[in-house]
Amino acid sequence: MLRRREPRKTGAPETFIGPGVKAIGTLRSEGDMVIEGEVSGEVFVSGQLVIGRHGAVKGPIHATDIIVAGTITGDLEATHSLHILSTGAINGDTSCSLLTVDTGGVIAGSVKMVRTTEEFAATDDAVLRTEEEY
Amino acid sequence: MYFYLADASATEKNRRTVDKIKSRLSELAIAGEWSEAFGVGDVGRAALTAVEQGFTTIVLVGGDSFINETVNTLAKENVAIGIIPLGRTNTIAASIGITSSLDACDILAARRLSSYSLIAAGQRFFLSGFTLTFGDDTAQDDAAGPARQLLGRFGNKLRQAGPRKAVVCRLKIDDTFSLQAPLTQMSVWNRKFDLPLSDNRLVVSLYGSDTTIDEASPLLSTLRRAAIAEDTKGLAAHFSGERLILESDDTQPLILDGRAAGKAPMVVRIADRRVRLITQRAHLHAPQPR
Repeated sequence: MLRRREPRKTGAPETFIGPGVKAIGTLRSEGDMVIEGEVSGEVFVSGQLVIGRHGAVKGPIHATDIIVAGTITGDLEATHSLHILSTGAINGDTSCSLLTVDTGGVIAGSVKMVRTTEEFAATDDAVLRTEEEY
Repeated sequence: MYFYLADASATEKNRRTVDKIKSRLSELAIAGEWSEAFGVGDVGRAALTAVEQGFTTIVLVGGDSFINETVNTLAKENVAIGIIPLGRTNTIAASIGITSSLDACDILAARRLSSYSLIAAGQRFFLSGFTLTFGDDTAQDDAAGPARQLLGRFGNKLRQAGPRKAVVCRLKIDDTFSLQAPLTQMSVWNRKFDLPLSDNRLVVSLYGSDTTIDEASPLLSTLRRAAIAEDTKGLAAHFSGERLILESDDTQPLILDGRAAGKAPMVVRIADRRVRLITQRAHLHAPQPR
C-alpha cells in the first residue's frame, strides 16, 4: 500500500513552485514563498519570497523581503529588503528599503530606495556602533 | 448514548486491544452499543441504522479508510463523530490529537467538539485529506470480476514499487492561477487539522517523478524508496486554496487513497458539508484554567 504523503508542515514555505512547474496567474501567499519553476503573472507575498537559481518570474512582484537567485522580468517592490545573489537578474524597476547586491548580480532598471527617517537613523546608529566596537 | 461502529477486519487482528478498549469504556461509563461491520456497503448501512435508532454520537473504531468510508455516509446526518484508532493507518486520529486507542476513550468521555468541513473530490468525501495517484481502475471495479481485480491490484502495487510514470497535469486553483507539471502523486489536506484555529482550507502538495529508482527490480526499488525521506523527495509544488480542478490529457484513471475514482477532470474543494468531531484539540478554542 502506498504510504500517505502528508503536506509539509513546520518550517516549510506556505507556497513552493518547484523546478519543472509552470504557473500562470496571480499567486498570493500569506506566508513565505519559494519559486524554483516558471511563473507568469503577478506575485503577492506577505513574508519572504525566494526566487531560486532555476526560478523565473515574468510579472510584477510585491513582497516584504525578496531574495533573488534566478531571473525576474517585471517590476519588483520589496517593502523591506531585497537581496540579489550572484546568479540573480532583474529586468525591471525595483523599490526597497534595504538593498544588497552580490558580485555578479544584475539590475537592469531603476532602483528606488524607500526608507523612513527612523529606519535611516536606526541603520546609521547601527553602523556607528559597529565601527566603535572595532 | 454512544454507538460504536468497528471495522471488523481490524478488530479480528486486534482482539486484545478491543477488549482493553471495551473495558476502558465501561470504566468511563460510556460503553454504549458495539457493532462490527465489514465492507463498504455494510459499514454505511450499519451507520445509518444507528442514526435511525436515535443514536446522536457515532464512534468509529478503525483506520483512515474505514473512517472516510463511514463519514461519506454520515455527512448529511446531525450526529457527533468520535474516533478510536485501530489498525495500521491512523493519520486522521493523530491529526485531532488522538495518539492511542485507550487515550481515545478518555477523549470521548471529555467530549470536546470541533466542527470540520469535509473535502469533496469527485463523488467522494474525505475527512482530513487524501492521496491521489494514477493507475489501473480494475483494482476496485466490482464489474471487473475477481481475477481482473486481483490483476489490477497487483499492477498498482508493481507500479508503486517501481518508478512511477509522471502524468502531465494542469491544475486551476481558485480561478486565480494555474499550474502545469508532470506529476506522480498529489496530497490534499485540510489545514484546520494542523492548525485548529485556522479556516478550513486545502493544503496541496504535488510530487513529480522519482527518477532515481531502479526500474528492473521492484523489491530493490521498494527498499530504496523506504530509505528516502518521503516528505521532501520529488516535491514539485506546495500551495493552499479552496478549490482546484485537476485536468490531464492522459487517460490513466485517478486513484484516491487506493480506490479508483474515475478520470480527469476532477474537482477538489472544501465542501459545504461539515461534521462535528470529538477531538483532543478543542481546548485550543477555549483554554482551560490550570
